[in-house]
Parts: sequence; C-alpha cells; structure tokens
Amino acid sequence: MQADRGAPPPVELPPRRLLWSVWLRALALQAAWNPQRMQNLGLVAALAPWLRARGPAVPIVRRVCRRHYEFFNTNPYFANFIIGGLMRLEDESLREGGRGARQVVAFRSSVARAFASLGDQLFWLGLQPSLLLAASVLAWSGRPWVGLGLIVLLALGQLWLRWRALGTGYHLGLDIVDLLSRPSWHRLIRASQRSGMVLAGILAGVYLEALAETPPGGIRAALWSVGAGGVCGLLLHRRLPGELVFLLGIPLALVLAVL
Amino acid sequence: MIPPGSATVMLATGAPLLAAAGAGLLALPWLPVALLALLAMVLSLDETALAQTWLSQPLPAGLLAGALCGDAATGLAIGLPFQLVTLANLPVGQTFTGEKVAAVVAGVGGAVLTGHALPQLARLAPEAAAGALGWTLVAVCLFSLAGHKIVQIERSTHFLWMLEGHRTLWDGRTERLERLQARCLAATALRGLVLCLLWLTLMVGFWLPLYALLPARLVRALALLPLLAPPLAVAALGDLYGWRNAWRWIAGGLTAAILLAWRL
Repeated sequence: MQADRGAPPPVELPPRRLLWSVWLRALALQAAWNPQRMQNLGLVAALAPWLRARGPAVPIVRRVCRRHYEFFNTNPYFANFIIGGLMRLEDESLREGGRGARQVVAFRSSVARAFASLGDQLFWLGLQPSLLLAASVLAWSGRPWVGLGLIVLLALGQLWLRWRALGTGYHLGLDIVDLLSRPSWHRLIRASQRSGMVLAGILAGVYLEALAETPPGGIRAALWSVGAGGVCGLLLHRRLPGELVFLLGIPLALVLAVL
Repeated sequence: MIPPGSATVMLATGAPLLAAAGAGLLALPWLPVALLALLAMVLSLDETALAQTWLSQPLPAGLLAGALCGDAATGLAIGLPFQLVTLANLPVGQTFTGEKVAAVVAGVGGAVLTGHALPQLARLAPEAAAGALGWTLVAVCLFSLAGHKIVQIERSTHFLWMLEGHRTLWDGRTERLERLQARCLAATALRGLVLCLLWLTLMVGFWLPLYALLPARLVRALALLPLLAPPLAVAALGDLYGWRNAWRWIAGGLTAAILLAWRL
C-alpha cells in the first residue's frame, strides 16, 4: 500500500535504553523541589541523559540547560508527557540549527500548567482520597492487606503510566494538546471524586455501626462524633492541617469526659 | 551573650531528660530499630522526592512498620486513625502536608517495642488501652507538625543547591545537575532516618512513660480522642469537594453501609 503523500514521516522514538535513563531520573522530578523554581532542577536532570546522547556542542548544551532551568511546575504523574514532548521539540530544534527555541519554552509553560491542573484534579483530589478511603474501609473490616494490595497495584499502574507517557509525549510532540482536550480525563476525574464521596459515606456508616456495637460508646460517643465532625468541618474550612484539628479536639474530649 | 546560669539550668533539666530518653532507645533491640530507621528512610523518599507510590501514606506505613516489629495490628491501630486525620493534607503546590512518615513509623515502633498492644479504632477495649492509643496519636500528630518545619528548611536548602547548578549554565556539564539531584535525595533519606530515631527516642524515653502519670480524667478524654478521626475524615472530604456537591454521594454511601450492615 502506498503512503499518503501529505502525511508526515513516522516519528522514530529514541532508543529504549535512553528512554529508560530519562524515566528513572524523572521519577525523582521533585527531589530538588524548591519554593522558588519548584521542579526546574529535576526537569534538567531528567533531560541530561538525552542531552548527552545527542552530544551537541557545549554552547548548545548551555542554551538548552538555560532554557529549562527556569520555573517549572507540573503534576509529577503526568510530567513525562511534557518531558517526552520536550525531547522531541529539542531534537527538531537541533536539526534546524537551534531555531524554534521560543516555541519550546511556550510549549513547556502552557502544557505544564494544563497537566498540573489535570493531574492535581485526578490524582490528588480524586484517586488519592478514594484509594486511601477504600484501603481504610478494608482495614476497618479486617482486610488491611487487601487495602495495601490496592495501593501497590495503583503504584505499579502509575509507574507504567509514566513509562508510556514518555513515549507518547515524544510521539505526539506539539499534538499533545489533543490528548489534553479528551473528555475522558474529566469523566475519570468526576468518577474518582464521586467514588471518594461514596467511600466517605461508607466509612461513616461502618464507624457508626462499630459505635453501636461497642457498649461503653453508645449515645455519648455518637454525640461526640457528630459534634466533633461539625467543629472539624469549620476548622478544616480555614485550611488548618488535620493534625492540628485533631489536637484541638483534646479540650472538647476533656469537656465530654467531665460530663 | 548566653548567661552563665542557663547552661546549668540546661544541664539540670534537659540533659538528664535526654540522657534518660537516649538510654531508653539503647535498651531496645537493635535489629527492629535499624529496620524501622531503614523503612523511614525509604518511605521519606517516596513521600515527595522519588516515585510517590503512596506507600508512604500513614496507613500503609503504619502497617509495614508494625509488621517489621512483629505486631501489624498495633501498626494498623495507629496508621488507620492517623490516615483519616491527615486525609485532606494534599501535596498540591506549597500547601501543608506535614511530615507523616517518620512520625508514624516512630509512633508504631515506640508502642510495639515497649510492649504496648494498642486497640483498634472504635473497638471494645479497656479505657487505659484506648487512652494509650489517643496518647500515641497525640505524639504522632505533634511529631508530624514539628517535622514539617524540618521539611521547609530542607526545601530552602534545595534552593541554595539549585543555585549551585547555575555553573552548568556556563560550562555545560550536566553531570553536576544529576549530582545535585542525588544530593537532595540523600538529604531527604537522611532526614527520614534522623527524625525517625529522634521521635523514637522521645517516644520510648519520655512520652510513653509519661502516660502512667496522667490524671484519670485526661486518660478518659484521650480514650475518646481517636473517635474524632472518622468524623474528621468525612468533614475533610465534604470540605474538599464542597458540601453542596458532596452531601448526596456521602449520604448514599452512608445509607448503603447501614443497609448492608442491617441485612447482614
């Protein structure tokens, strides 16, 4: 079969060994996290094996490092889409004698922001609370190791996602924007957040059931729980850390212990 | 200038206390202590710096620490309520996350290695045992809050090391940046190790022995305290997603759980 005349040439991925080196370093993207430029050192350290493999002249290495040593922040689970895309764009820029540098910087900044928002919604606000609540409910019902197994499964899944993301990012290059606009991401976010809410309800049910079955608990413990939950809600709304809210419960518990 | 009397005061109060706490740690079997320190090192790396597999979250960390010491049930007794307490501490941007790993590993290690078998959350248990769980959770929360300050200092140090990387922008040696990244990883691992041993020393030598001296009323209050963890988790989730949006789903889950319990 003859290929379309207008179709772009197929993209050849970098060698597997090089991708593996970049993947390993990208796992430590946040190792040097700093409040001023966040993940910049991690990003350039992840790109270092690629840069060495390409072996450009020192002035070009300096230019590439300078470009990416600026502020960089994204969600770590999605970062490899960007790193793969940057490798592709930098490859093209090297082939064209250093042109397209502005496009590379614009790509990095805009895609990093979009993936940060998407990844935070999916991982930090969706999957993490849901998974940890599922593991907690399982632990409460006497199956803590099943809960731990779930966490291990998700850990393996995210490592696989990071590996795939590197190749996909390289393959798509600028077209990664199409990947970002897929509605399936938002369906996944909604589903994971709703499952978190349902699991919170299940946790409350399991907890109330345990209280009902514990003789010294009874009405006092139930009242304590409902009242404390209300106060906690107010304190958490003020963005206090959970540990501090828990410690602020001591005076409340003291009052109840006296009654 | 430091007044000459202050050193005497420190020697009279702080030093014997620390010496007693240190002696408590030395009296523990060395192998579990070494394993706990190693676990704290690995999980501290996992928390933010490397891979972020969520095995460093309090529930799995507590369970693993308990299993290493030979009492996974006590690991679960501490890990589960602390997980619920910190459920909404999300590592988004620069928001608060605490330093949970060393705190929970040392809390579990201290309790198990001194022979405290703590009861599971909201299960029938003598008041003294339930109070000991509350007392341990208070320590774990305090350690986590104190550790967060250390994490902030560590991150400020990262900034200084990152500035060192600017030399690469002049000579083009990318290996320097990888070495700096490795240095940051080593610092995080070391922080996990040191904090775990420090918290373990305080737990064994000071915090747990103090429990025997608490008044009965405070013990009764401490026995109630762990019951705060599940309502706190539900409140955190409601606040995270917005109650207007969340209440139907939470109520649905609650109804399903109660119906299931009633049918069974």
